[in-house]
Amino acid sequence: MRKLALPDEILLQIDKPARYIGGEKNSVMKDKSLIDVRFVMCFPDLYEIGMSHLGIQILYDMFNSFEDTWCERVYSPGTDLDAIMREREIPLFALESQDPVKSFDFLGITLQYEMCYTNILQILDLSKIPFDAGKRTWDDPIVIGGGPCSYNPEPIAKFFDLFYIGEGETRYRELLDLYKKDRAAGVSREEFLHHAGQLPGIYAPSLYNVKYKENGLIESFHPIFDDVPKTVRKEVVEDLSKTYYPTRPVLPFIKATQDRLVLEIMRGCIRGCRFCQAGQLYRPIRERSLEVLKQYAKELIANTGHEEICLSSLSSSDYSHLQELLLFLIDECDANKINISLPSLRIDQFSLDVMNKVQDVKKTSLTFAPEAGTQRLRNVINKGLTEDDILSGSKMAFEGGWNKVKLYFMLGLPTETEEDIKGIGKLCNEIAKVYFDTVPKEKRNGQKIQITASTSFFIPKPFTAFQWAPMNTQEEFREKAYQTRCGILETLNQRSIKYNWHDTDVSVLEGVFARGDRKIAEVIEKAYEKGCIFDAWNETFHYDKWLESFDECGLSIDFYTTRTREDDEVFPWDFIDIGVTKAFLLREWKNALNEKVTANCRAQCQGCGAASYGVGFYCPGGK
Amino acid sequence: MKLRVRFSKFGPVKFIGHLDIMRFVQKAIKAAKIPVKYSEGFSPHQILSFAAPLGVGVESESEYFDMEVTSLDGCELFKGDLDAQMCEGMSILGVYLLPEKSKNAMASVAFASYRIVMHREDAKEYIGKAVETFKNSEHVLSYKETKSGVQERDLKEAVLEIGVNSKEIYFTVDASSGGNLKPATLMNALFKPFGIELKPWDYQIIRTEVCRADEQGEPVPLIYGLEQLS
Ligand code: SF4
Repeated sequence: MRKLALPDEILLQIDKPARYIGGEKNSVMKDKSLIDVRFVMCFPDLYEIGMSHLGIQILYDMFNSFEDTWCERVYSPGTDLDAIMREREIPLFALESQDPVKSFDFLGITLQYEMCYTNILQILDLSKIPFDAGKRTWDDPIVIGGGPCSYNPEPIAKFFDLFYIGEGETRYRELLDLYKKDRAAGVSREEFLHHAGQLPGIYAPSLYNVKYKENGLIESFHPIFDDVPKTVRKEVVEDLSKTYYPTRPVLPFIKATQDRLVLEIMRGCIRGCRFCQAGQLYRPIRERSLEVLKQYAKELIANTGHEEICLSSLSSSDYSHLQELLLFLIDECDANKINISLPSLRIDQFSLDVMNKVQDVKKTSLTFAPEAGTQRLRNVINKGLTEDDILSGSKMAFEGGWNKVKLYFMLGLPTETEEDIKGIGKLCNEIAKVYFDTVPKEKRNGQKIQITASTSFFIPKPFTAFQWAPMNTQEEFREKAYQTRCGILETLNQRSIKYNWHDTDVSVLEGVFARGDRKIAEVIEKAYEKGCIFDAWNETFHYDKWLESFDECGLSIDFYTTRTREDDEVFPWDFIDIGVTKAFLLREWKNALNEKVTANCRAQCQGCGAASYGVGFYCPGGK
Repeated sequence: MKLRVRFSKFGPVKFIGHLDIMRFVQKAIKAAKIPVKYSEGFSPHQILSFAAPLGVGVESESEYFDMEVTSLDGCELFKGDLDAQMCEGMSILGVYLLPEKSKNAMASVAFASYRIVMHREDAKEYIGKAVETFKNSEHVLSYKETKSGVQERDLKEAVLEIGVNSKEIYFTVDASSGGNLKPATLMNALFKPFGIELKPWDYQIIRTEVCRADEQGEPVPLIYGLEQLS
């Protein structure tokens, strides 16, 4: 049996020791003596959160299918264990072998959200790996980042040797082969990074030099060697039906945040909402074939005995075989006593029928994401969901017995006015009205209509039409949340409407990191030294320490958040080519300001640039 | 039809708590394609009953759960099929047929046996003396703080058997729902006379058997008298 890195004494005193022992079903053990490359994959957050993530499972499955590679996992230790590890100088270890992270060849860190940046430093710190990539030696693993935040890696570039830009399934084999070759040849770490930086999809920050203008904007961004490409092009999987899929996922003992099987049905999104980063990053749209999905579903169910399965994609309603897939799943899951957790589908008769079959109508709610309160603003953000869609969908659902509706909105969208904010309350009120008109008193069975409106604060993200847009100030956000609440209270049916919103401090930081440059690294390091960690959690978030850190580094938050960008500004992420062109995004930014709607990919190709991959489901020349 | 399943739990999985083990076993039963019976409704669940919950950190040679199945077809393979779905440190030891009228595993538990491997050096030399002292005392009182004040209990009444075997302490104690004696409580009482305050990690507890009471009130394993299917 494996020997654990932590003694019983520690494991019996910390919260959820199961986070740190590995040995879960389907976790992979290999014989170290037969392995050339040891890779440890890190999700820099608590185990329960990291274990909910499909991307890591895909890569874990892929790496471990390579005979010469053993891929293990590591997550952020909770603050209780963190303190003990520091006090006793226990190095951070991987779950499977329980070996120190520092002894690995690669440490891969997935970057799913900006607010995990200090956790990356915790991982490096506890592993005793220098923060500054330039100070590392062959005694340290190659630290490589990937995932959505690597599309603007600059704020954390200093901490990474490499970034993998794009979908992980395509180039890792080449990178590992290069590593084996270079290590056998005895080359220096710098030389290896230089070679790696020439592989498609691989960005080695140390190979590029940034010059800033006096006003803080980027003057130039250049490779320091002639043989290193000026732009790094995103990697995409050509055929989703012919790639890796974890049909034997690791099953955590403790409940993961998302405790269910995941069937990823497609990548990309036809919709083109202008605030949405994922919608652009994962273009072009690629679907998995129905046959392959049926096969995966069967294997997942057989291999795990899980009690719940869900579909994953950015917009499942747009999957071209959705009906067939759902009907198949309903039968399969019924036979195996498995729950289907439905993604938020566009509300129509079909989706309501499906929901009716697999959920308890009384307990579940309908979900709409209008994102904005008026049609005008929905046109600005290109959200093709009309008030009529929402009201007629609600009517249908109320007739079917539903009485809970959840609505998601954003505050702080470009061009937003008071009327748009008032529109949130009005829309909720209309829905309540539809309920009272549709469901006669005697049929309500003492039930009430419950409408929940939630707002989040809009944060402009790279590679969206709104990458040029100023973000609101905190005062504006607070004022808008207040106005939203007043707007709701003014409506006739306000008693049926509940309003949720979150505080703004974290949003401000997220805004800085999202569009930050290399200068931000120093702030992150300072804040970490002051004790910032797990910034996504309220209890551990210390805004004051962050403000101090910005001050000490002489950097202004507003420069990154509330400033309006000129059309021709050089962005820190411009060297990354995601297929979708900057010219297209700029056109979309102008369309937004003119309140002009752009058709979705299925209706008419808009020439976004992603067709250049030659594999898009709807793209001209695609598949 | 009801079946009783016996399993063991050793090594790192000892840190997995009772509820998580239950969820794990449910998945294993499903993956093993055992024709287990489900409840009705929107989220059907398996009809299972676990015997006495095992504390975090405790290992076991003999744990039990009951499950209801819709058919006994292929029951000679149930043990192997279930065992194939276990993780490192957990093994299925046997599957037994439970007569229809029997009480479920949880309700049947009356006693549990344990053995203790002492890790702490300065406590090792007192093992024999501690057990002797306990045996020779008329009462061994233990105090527990509860909401309604401090509760006194005479551990002598809760311990059926105690002894030392190749440097390990072994004992059988009350494990009924009303009177369950935690092995740690007994360990603390055993070593207190020698001024040794034990911490939970100073020794390893291994449960060796979970028992019901037979007609004479004597402990017999939960599978005593049951027909073994696989
Ligand atoms: S090239 Fe056209 S069809 Fe393809 S993703 Fe872009 S807009 Fe959509």
